[in-house]
Amino acid sequence: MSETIKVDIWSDVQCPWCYIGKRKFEAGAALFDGAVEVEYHSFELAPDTPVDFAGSPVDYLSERKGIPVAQVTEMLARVTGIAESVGLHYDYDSVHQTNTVISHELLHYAKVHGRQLDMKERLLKAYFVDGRHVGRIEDLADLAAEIGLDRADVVRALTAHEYLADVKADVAQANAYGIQGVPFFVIDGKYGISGAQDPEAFAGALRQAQADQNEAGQNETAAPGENR
Amino acid sequence: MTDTPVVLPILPAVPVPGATPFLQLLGQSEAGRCEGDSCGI
Repeated sequence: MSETIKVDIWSDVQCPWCYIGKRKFEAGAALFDGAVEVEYHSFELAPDTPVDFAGSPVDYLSERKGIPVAQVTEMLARVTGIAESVGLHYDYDSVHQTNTVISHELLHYAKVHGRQLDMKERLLKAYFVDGRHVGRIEDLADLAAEIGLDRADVVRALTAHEYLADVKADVAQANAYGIQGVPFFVIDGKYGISGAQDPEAFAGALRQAQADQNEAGQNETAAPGENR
Repeated sequence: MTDTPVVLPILPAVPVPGATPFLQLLGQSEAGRCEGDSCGI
């Protein structure tokens, strides 16, 4: 019998492909006949972004990063359409471009309290669908309270930056793996999947990891007999 | 036999950034991802 397959996912809250990839991974995991444990890790795509950027994502990408408006518009329209195809209704007109480091700290807080997956889903929906701000402590505490976390304790932990070192450790591990873009999935510590792949790609990787575990288990079982 | 000491190479503790030496990459290369401020296929 195979063990649980661990999946480590590097992702950013304001990464449109990460939410799409989350849905596709979930669909792939549903195709897989086995147990899966997911842990999210922090990746900051734009750590230089101010918390309160006064403008839209189009403004941010065109004015601050020098990407032509037409290219930004086409990019957002394309990703919005693909999001729709997996049941996500992105609303870029309401998005608050911000710095996501504190939202990553909140994800580590939620992990310690056993609610990381719910927090990740809430943050992605808050940013891409609901037009909520995910860069300010008070707004993040509201979102945390919505999934049942202790609002006052969240404010305390985020104000003290208790989990900032964990965020930086995740970023360092991403660098060690050579991860340059997100979403990035590490299956059972040995297979890497970059990007929002189709569900079957994830299911196939999970099956491969399961087969590896089964093979390793058979070898461990057979080894004592060989010595008799 | 000589008295010359044998010097073993020191292996890096972590992989070199930019490489994935112990991860086998799976899936299609053209899947959507974000790198920095660029989010394309």
